[in-house]
Amino acid sequence: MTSPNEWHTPEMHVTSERFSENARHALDDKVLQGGLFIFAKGFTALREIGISQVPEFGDMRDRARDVKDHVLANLGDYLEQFEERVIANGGRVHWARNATEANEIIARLCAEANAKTVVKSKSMVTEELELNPHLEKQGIEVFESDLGEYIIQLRKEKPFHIVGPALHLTKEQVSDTFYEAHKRYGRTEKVTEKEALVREARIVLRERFKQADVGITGANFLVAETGSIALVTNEGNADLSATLPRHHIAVTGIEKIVPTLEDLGVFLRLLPRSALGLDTANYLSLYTGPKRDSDPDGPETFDIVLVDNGRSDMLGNEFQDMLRCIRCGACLNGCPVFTSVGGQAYGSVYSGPMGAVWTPALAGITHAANLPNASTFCGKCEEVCPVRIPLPNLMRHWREREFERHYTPAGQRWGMGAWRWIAARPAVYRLVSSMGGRILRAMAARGWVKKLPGFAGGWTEMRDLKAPEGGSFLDQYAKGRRS
Amino acid sequence: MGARDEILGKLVRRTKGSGATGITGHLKPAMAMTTGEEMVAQFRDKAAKLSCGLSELSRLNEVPGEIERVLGEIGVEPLLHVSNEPELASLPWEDIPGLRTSREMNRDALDGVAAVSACAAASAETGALVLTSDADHVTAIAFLPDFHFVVLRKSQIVPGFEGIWSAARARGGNRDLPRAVNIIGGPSRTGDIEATMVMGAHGPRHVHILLVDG
Repeated sequence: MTSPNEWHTPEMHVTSERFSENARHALDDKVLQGGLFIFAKGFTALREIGISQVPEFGDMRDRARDVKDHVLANLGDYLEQFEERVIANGGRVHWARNATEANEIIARLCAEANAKTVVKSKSMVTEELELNPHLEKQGIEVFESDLGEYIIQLRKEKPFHIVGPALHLTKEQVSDTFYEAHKRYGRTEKVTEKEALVREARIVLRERFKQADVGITGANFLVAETGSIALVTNEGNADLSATLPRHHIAVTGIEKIVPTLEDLGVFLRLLPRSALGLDTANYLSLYTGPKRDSDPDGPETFDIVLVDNGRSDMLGNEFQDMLRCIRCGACLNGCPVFTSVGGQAYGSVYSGPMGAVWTPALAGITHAANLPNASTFCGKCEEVCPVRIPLPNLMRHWREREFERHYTPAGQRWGMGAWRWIAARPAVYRLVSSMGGRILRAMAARGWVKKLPGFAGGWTEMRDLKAPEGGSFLDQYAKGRRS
Repeated sequence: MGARDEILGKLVRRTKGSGATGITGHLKPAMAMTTGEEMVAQFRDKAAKLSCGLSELSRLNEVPGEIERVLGEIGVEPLLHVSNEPELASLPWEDIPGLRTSREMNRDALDGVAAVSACAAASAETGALVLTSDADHVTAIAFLPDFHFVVLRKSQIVPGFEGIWSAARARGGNRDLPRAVNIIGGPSRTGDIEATMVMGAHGPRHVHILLVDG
């Protein structure tokens, strides 16, 4: 949706064109279907129990929505204030228009630090940028440290869910992956239990934390008044990444900013409850600048990379509400489509309802036209969103744009056009519908049509169609039968 | 024009005329507004919910003996790394013959051991402890050890996040924050394998609070 007079070209690689095919495979995957049940039932229930303890939850969501709207209306001012505070505290701020620029900045900072190894905590923005392959091409070894991200990094997969990247895998699959990957560290015994798998990852990654030259984190929030980044985790890996290496780089989107610490409190109250029904995450941390003269530990440099990559294109139009998103994953857990096919079918690091709106904005609607259509419009996503993003409406906007720009398949466009022509002409409509009724009755056996011809055959693949009985509504109306 | 000016220029163009918007809704829930004994009681409940251990002591001098007792109970070698904060330095560590102490705070020394630190505050809203970096406080003490003991005085408990920010600002000289503000809600954990909660992901497996009167 870049307008011709804007310089900007967002970059995100997706394989969303294959959504239908991926979804079909996902539905046939018994292991995956077992895992998806956890989201559909477990996470949603946890969220409901968690928020039932807080009668003010709805009011806090209003507050969060309003704060974000205020920030977005004044985004440039708050980013400048943030930058000024970061510099005052001895840090540096870098601005990246797109993924290429962001990756170049980060690679340059790593080169300045003579970095051989980088340890990372989970960051969806760096997934969006495909930062890891870029750094690896420069000869830098990159270790993800969030357990889920580490597992999918070893398996060369994309995250399955924005909060739980590896929740589609069984412990047997993780066991196989660790067994192969950890041989290089001299670990030859195959561990199979969950506790033992967690322990093994902890032992292997602890050494990476201690050796890494650079720690790269995301930022859940940026605080304008203090120039701080806020990190929210349960494992403590973000804190080790921000504390032990000599250099800390935080990579995040320009929309993550909040004005004050008081405002931050509202979001820290909403995020863990919306994600997992928790009062708080295990670790909520604020980092402000590099190690100070009197500090006994902490990184020598503190660099923040602010990434646009299509975000500014969503400002000032019908997609602006999407920029309020705090990546809690609640809309994924409630979604009947996500919980049927899982995140990887979306072919994008952002999946579920939020991904169906966010992905076309970053990757272009030509590549992601399938995603806004992967919705039943049940409205559950909007119901659970902590910042009240009208997700179904935003998906509808994408569908409209997609149709206007002729990205809908030809058959579907022809069908819609034919329908409009017929529906606008009552006489034709009546003729076609009564003919249709007669044809269906002729095809039926004992009142049911088992197989429709041509493209309509898809509908009867899984079910039968009841043949119409007793004429159309208009026929019956004309005969005076109104009951 | 560089990326910074182009991005900022575009943001101004795109938000022109939208200006200020009204802010409605609640800032904080009732559970973040308790006071007095009710606040302390809520802190105890919430900290227990986060799987923290808790010992209640009437005097700071009882801290060394209590830590030795807890280490014995969980069957851990009685070697304790003591943070350099003044309130801990003055405690009678030598009076407990069964407990050896170390002042080593480098990353290899802290890796996987038992350690004790003071804190800046604790929140009754969630049961979390607040630790801030300064000359006497090593940030890594909250992440590298396996057993983290935290000495907390009752007067340091605040109702909620708002109190945490005040306490953190006070530690940073009332304008800026200290470099690190770590709000710690119990032992490290992960649910990343089959959504089963396992304790001790990357940080401590045990967090034990020594809640002291006064």
